[in-house]
Amino acid sequence: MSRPAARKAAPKGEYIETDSGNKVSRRSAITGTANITLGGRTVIMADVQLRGDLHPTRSVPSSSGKEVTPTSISIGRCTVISTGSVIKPPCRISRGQVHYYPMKIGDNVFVGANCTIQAISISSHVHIGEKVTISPFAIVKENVKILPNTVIPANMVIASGSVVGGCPARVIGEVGEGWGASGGVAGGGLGVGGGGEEKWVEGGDLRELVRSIK
Amino acid sequence: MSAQPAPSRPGPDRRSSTVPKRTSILPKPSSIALDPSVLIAQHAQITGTHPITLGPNTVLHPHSRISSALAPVVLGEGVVVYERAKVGVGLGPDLDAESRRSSMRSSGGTIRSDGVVLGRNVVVEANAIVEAAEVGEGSVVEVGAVLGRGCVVGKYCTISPSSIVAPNTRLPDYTVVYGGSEHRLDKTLQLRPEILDAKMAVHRKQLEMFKKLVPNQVAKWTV
Amino acid sequence: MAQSFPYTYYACDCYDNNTSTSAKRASQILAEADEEDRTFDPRNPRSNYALYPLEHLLYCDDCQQIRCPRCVIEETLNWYCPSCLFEVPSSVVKSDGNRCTRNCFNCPVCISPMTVNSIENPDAPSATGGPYILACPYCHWSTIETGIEFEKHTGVHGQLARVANGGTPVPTPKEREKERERRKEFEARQRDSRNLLSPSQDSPTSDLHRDSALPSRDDVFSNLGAFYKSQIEAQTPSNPFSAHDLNFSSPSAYSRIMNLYSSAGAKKQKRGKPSPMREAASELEGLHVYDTVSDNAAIERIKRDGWGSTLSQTQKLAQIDPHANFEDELRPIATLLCTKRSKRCRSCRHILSKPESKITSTRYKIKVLALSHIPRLSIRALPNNAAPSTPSAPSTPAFSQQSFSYSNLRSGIPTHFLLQLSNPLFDNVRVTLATPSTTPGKIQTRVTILCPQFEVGANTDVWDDALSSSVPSATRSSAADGQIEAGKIWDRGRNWTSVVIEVVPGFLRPITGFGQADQADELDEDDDLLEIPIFVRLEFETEANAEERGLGDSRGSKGEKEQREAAFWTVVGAGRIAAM
Repeated sequence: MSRPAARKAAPKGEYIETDSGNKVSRRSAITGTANITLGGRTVIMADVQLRGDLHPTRSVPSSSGKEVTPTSISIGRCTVISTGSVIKPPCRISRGQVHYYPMKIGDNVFVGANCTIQAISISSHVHIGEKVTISPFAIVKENVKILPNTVIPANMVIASGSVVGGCPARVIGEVGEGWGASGGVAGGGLGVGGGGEEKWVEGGDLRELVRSIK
Repeated sequence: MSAQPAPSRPGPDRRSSTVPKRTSILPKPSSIALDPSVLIAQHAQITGTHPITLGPNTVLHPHSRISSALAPVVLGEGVVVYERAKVGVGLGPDLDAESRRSSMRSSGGTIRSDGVVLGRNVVVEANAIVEAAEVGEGSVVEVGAVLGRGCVVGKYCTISPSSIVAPNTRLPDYTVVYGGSEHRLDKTLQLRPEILDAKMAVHRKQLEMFKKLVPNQVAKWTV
Repeated sequence: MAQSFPYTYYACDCYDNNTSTSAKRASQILAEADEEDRTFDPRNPRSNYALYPLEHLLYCDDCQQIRCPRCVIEETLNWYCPSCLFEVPSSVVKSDGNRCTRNCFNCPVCISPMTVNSIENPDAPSATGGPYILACPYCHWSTIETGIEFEKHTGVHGQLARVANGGTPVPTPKEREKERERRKEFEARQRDSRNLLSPSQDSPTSDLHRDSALPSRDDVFSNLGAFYKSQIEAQTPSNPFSAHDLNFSSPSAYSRIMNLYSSAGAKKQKRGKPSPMREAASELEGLHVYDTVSDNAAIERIKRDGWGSTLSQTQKLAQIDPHANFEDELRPIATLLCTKRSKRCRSCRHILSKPESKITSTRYKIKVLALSHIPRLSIRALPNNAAPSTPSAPSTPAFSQQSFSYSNLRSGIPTHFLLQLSNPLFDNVRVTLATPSTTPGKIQTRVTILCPQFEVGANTDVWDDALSSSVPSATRSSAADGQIEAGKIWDRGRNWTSVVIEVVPGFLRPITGFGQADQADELDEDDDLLEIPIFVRLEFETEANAEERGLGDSRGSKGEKEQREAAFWTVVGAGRIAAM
């Protein structure tokens, strides 16, 4: 699927769009699709790996009695996972058994290119730079900015409103009060986000960005 | 899951049909020695012309790459190679002139660079690149770490995420490389062999878990 | 904060405003007038503290000015641990020293947060699941290296306080006091016996503690504390102002009242010069005597174990004990607390931002952002396909690439950038831009704003825009014909206008033969950074607000317009000039 030759031949465009507006690249590598939920208008770019096959195996007593498909990765709305990132649920030993734990990613989260993410939870309005490593069971709260090339150690909790960076990561500042606010110029500003071409701001509503990805 | 009214899932995995096509175009290694207990996930790549040996219970995750294009590769018992990790000489990032020269020197025969040997229970995490000559038993190469050509890594070492080990480095047993390039010795493991045992037990359980969760495509490589 | 190119920083001029005019001398005013003429220099060391990204700025409605982190007053709402997100009462913050007192610790080696791990022997499980250790998931340091294990996985802070490195228990204050008493007695006895016996016969029953290593820092501290306490008590047997015995109708309260009302003579008497307190004179009193033995031991140790066993400066600074020198003296660092703060304008004390006090909430009760009061200035490279061929364009392949490389600007080649102003206000704004013709700093880059005066539409509803046909069509945008023309805006939308700015990046090295040999000094870091100072002046008419005009001012009737003006410096980071 990731052969360049196949890319050119694809006539239907880069992305498969689902009913709820999710855009999943044809060149993404998703395993265990049954265990992944996307909230809607979420973008999975090319070469992204979603390891849905690494799902929780502990039997959950369900009320209805029938077997439920375990969720391993759930991603919210308007979240963008950029090219080459690996999203993989974390696992640890518990009561003598190895278990995978479901990972949750919130809304309007931007994950930069070539990240490896094994967090247990990432809340909404989080901006993750490129080549960031988030080790297993880290918790990232709302309105957090993670600078490029940061390594977040396992089990770290990042309080909301922090800017983290470094290797290992430490809190190096706070996002401004205006984090994510476009100041009523949505759609008009060139944006402060990376490339400068996009009409969105880091930590803000990513709807415009999602719309522009085709 | 019922919390979301319309959880939409990406379409079913149709890629399986394209797999045989893709493998046919890759140069197949002259000889792959596979233990029957090996787990090779879909989309794992094994390429190159030199021999490749995979020991018992080795796990190759999807999109991991083992290449013997320049030199043979040996993975010991219970080695795990994760997504997009690369093992093999010549898979590293584009070398600048300096390191290319040093790798040339090493290929000249002064330092052992005849392939990559991963010891028992070595874990190579996602996006890591291992060109090292030897990685000792139980060592972990974390996410995005790079082991340069000709490195000799001792037993039970940890190369922390995004760390870079320069070519031809020798790391003694129990070394931890952290914070980019700093080294220290893991005295905890040295002092408490039982913690090490527990760690290895977890690794074994992890291997079992992979066998349960990851579909095995080893048949493709045995023919 | 490191931002990727391109970026815009806004300069807050609060430093100049803070010196009130009344206090100014003539010379200062003159100097200021000078300053007026000067352009803003982003390389000035002071600029470091004046430039902020727009998201970090607040706006004071009353002063009608940007408020940067320097010109606001912060008020702490509450304290919390960033790791366990537990809110710590302010009283506890004072007593416990601003650190988390539960289970949150940072690794003393690499600062990453530590985890409590069980090292239970699976063959012989314990009731509590222990013993437990604190371990760093990143660099794999653990308290085992300093010989510390815990019985329970909760209240680690308390457990850690009771155990010293090596696993020996730390004596409680009471035990310390007892020990002190015991040793005092012992020393006294020794002195007595020494008086009796000859000095050469030194005590054969030497105390165990005397032989052992130097007293720990905690010992010295508690000794010194006890000594000072006893000294103070000796000095002022019944201090009338002592906080301890201010009971109602107690003798001290009575004497205090008497002191307040009694004649000056009594006061003078009281203020009689206190006899000087003596300082600590022995180890038991907390005297820390420098001795070469410990230094020599340290040197020997470095010889034996190498530098690897010593601590780095950062590691040392993070330790509570300032004298920690070696790896085995490391203690886990209790996590420092964070605060939630509200912010007030420094000059008018109005609240500019106030977050909800709940730790988990990210909402604000009050938040006045600069974002919604001053235009957002953004810059990006002009898309090349639209740009007309500059003569050298075909020879620069970097420009024809789809993604513009901001960190690789070519010296001497005119490059076009788009400068866009988006207006958050509900009124049309007339904008005047100004920039020095060459950027300040060693590398002189020529900058020309092709259309320095233009208008930006109001931030009306999107629907208004669709319904009204009042979009001024007189100034046709040059984006349509793709022709860059001086005096014309590039493009405009509902509430934004973009203009072209032409930049000729300077040369990193003076061109030889140009007679610039005197400029041959070395370039500093970031001298190749292309930062363009741009002065923005806004003029707009807005509805005069009765509230803002103050009480009793009837002018502010509805519908009346007033002219307003705002001006500020911005610095635009356009990229880095490539070395040739």
